[in-house]
Amino acid sequence: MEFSDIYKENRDVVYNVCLHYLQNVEDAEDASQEIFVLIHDKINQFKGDSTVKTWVYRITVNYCLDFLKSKSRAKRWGGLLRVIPGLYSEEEAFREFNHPGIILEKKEETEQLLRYINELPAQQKTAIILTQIEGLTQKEAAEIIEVSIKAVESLVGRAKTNLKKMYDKARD
Amino acid sequence: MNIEDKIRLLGQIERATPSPFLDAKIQQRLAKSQEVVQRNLKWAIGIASVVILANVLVLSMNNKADELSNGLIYQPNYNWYGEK
Repeated sequence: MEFSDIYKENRDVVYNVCLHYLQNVEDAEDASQEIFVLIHDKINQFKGDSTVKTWVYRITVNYCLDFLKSKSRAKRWGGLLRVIPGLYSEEEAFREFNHPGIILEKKEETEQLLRYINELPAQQKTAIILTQIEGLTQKEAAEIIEVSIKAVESLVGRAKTNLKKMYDKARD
Repeated sequence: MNIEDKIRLLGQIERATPSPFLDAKIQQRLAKSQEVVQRNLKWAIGIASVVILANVLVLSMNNKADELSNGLIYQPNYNWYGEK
């Protein structure tokens, strides 16, 4: 398969998944660029054991999780990293929430929910994003996360329990 | 509102369209990545050539040294300083 075809078919998917994880336009655009470079470099390694879409989703999810990890590391070590020029950017580490897909009437509620989702463990977060926002089936999500369908079901269940706890805690 | 109602909010998130500049940015990023690959390849070829040349030099010096020492060893009339 040609890179240009993969790009045309998956550009919006990659960008939107990045938005759900990173929750601002600038980070989502930066991540999309890097993800397509990765896809371009790895295109010959694609063996066809899954669909191209699943493969693209997998690369995107893994990249976003790594991005979030490195971002939280940068926040934690910001003071130290500031000493070395070019290694730390205040503007990049503290970009504000900006998700253009959220409808205005429900903006605050959805923003809060997405923030809580961001605090979930990686696999629970992925299971919720893929099944509830992206609208994938549990089978599709299981192929992307590389776990069983039962495991996805349990991840979604645990994510909901954790989200409920977060809401309860915020209410108290 | 229970958690299921909250989760339903996620289904209402609309697909966002990336900025029209994203295509150009990705093209630029790909070109840059190709450039880096080519630059790294040039460096790798350069370093490999230097290593090979250095090896050839060392080997030829070793051979020369062997020839010289052989000459001295097999000529018992000469001492280590090449004097008779």
